[in-house]
Amino acid sequence: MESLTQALTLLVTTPLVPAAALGVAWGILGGALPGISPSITMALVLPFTYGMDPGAAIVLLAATYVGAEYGGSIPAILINTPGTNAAAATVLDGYEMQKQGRGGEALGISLYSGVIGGLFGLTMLVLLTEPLARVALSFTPMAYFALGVLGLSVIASLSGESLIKGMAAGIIGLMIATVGSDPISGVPRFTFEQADLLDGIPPILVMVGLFAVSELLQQSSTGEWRKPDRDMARLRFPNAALRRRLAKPQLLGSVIGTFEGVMPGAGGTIASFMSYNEARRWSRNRDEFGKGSPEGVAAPETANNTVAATALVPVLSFGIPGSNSAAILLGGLLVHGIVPGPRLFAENGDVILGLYAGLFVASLSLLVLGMLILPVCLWLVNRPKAYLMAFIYALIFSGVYSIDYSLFDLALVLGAGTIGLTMRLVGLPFLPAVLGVVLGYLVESNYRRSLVLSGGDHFIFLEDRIALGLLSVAALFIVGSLATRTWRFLRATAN
Amino acid sequence: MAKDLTCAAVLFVVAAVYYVLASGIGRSALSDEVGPAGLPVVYATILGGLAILLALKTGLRYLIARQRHTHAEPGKPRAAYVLGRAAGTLAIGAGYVLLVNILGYWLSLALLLPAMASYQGQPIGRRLVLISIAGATVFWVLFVWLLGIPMPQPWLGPLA
Repeated sequence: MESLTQALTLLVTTPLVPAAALGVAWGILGGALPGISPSITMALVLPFTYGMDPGAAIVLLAATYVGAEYGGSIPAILINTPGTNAAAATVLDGYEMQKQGRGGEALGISLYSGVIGGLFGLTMLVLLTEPLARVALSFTPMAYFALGVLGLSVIASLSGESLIKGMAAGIIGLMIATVGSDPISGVPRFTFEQADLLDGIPPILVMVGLFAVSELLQQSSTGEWRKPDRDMARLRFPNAALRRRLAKPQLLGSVIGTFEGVMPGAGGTIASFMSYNEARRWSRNRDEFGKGSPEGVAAPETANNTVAATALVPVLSFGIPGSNSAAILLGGLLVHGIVPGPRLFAENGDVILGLYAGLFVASLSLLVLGMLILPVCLWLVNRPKAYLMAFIYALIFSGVYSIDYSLFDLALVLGAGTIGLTMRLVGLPFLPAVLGVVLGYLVESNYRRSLVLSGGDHFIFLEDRIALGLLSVAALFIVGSLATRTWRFLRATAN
Repeated sequence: MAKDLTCAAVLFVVAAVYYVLASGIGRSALSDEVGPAGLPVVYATILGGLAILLALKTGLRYLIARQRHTHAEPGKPRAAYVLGRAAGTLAIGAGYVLLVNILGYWLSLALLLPAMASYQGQPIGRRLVLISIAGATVFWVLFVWLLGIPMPQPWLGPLA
């Protein structure tokens, strides 16, 4: 109670509220631009924090992160371009809803779920920082490998009609992830003597190419888009019945987001894909997934916004940054003389209470700012198709160039777009490929590190309790998906 | 049916090329037991296997369909048209990538926007020109002025 009073006092007496609102607004802008990642958005604002009050500076950075994680869903829903890696799972049903003229509804669901996820994540951050951080610290390379396999196991149920094609797409993703320097020895692989490829191909380039560029390529040969009804194109929040329906996927997204957020390196992408998969598994309207299901938007959006808060757990408790964004936040803490660790609460309790209060304000600001910004975005995407396609192309080129200031990246995105168009034409699904690209490095590097530790003995994966647990869950997922497919096939044959 | 067979063929070619490239990856003194080529070779083998499996499955389905005298799915006659239009869009994008270092960011965008819009059927006229100039300026303000991204400068100097 005393802490609550102190936090409220900080809100009134320090510039936390404007810092949170400003951070969220800046973050939404950065997240909504393809290629401008949350970490770049935070890095751009970092120099402005030097002269600020430490509490307000940290809140500004954290609120930017929260805004950017949410902002990634806006282009994912409206133009089939995930603004951030974590927004890739939102594309599937969000863009389908937009194509059906239900973009306003999809944006309303994503905003509502984002706020729920943010508040849930903040609650977890306040209540469980210490015990959750201990779980994160006990993760070994074997456990990280198992975590990657668990993520890949989702392919079995994201494969659409053909499991073979889904697995093939997943392997193609894993192949793309092998481009660059070998994680153990540093030997260049598939780089064709191009220095630009030594660091590998960033997943965001593959996603923008597969989803957005290939969509542009395919749309080049179609006529004018159907104009949505004026009412349908407005931002619409879910009504009571839909809110009840969304409660389950939001709960799944929150729990998975909490679990993934506290583990350094796991991040929002795995959380959003796993939440999408689990929401589909437990849904009564399973067949709607992939065709514009509100639950398919709610689950990943709740998960990646939960991660935005819970990813602070390892940063605050041990000073371990689990992602680039967390590393910039850590930099912000250190610049102001705040050293994360067990003594953080004793030495800088007021700053941490201020951070909690600021994150609370940031979640509410997300709602207010979203209501102001989203109608403008909806108006923009309902312009004539020719202009819209031209502006999307320009946005993709500008955003992608901003990542590394490299024209080579633009060529890579066009290449990924061509691969995406080929995959569309031969019926290969995108999501397994994206999972492969995102998880490939995590799986390979930790698999090989584990074998180095064990001297080549594969039993090490069964001896590590966390790895064994995660691998068992992955096996259950795969067997469950195969059983469901077999059951459906037998039922269809009998009919 | 034809789509699945094409898919199997494409996957097999990808697997074969990737396998050949993976086999050529050198080892280093720092290499572990698996080595840098270890997993890539496994991936290529699995993909090749999946391609063969897909081809067999498609062939089997074709045989069953023929026994039941069902018609094969009609092919999509528009595939060539889709590819042709997509090639045009790709060419516009490639043109931007090639020109941006010569003309600079603003001017290249001011050309990309009307090129793409007119390719999509927008008539060339004063409206298109004005929207393109305004659009390029908005992008310049957002990325260069507001976000401070060092976009490519014109080769001919800042005036261009």
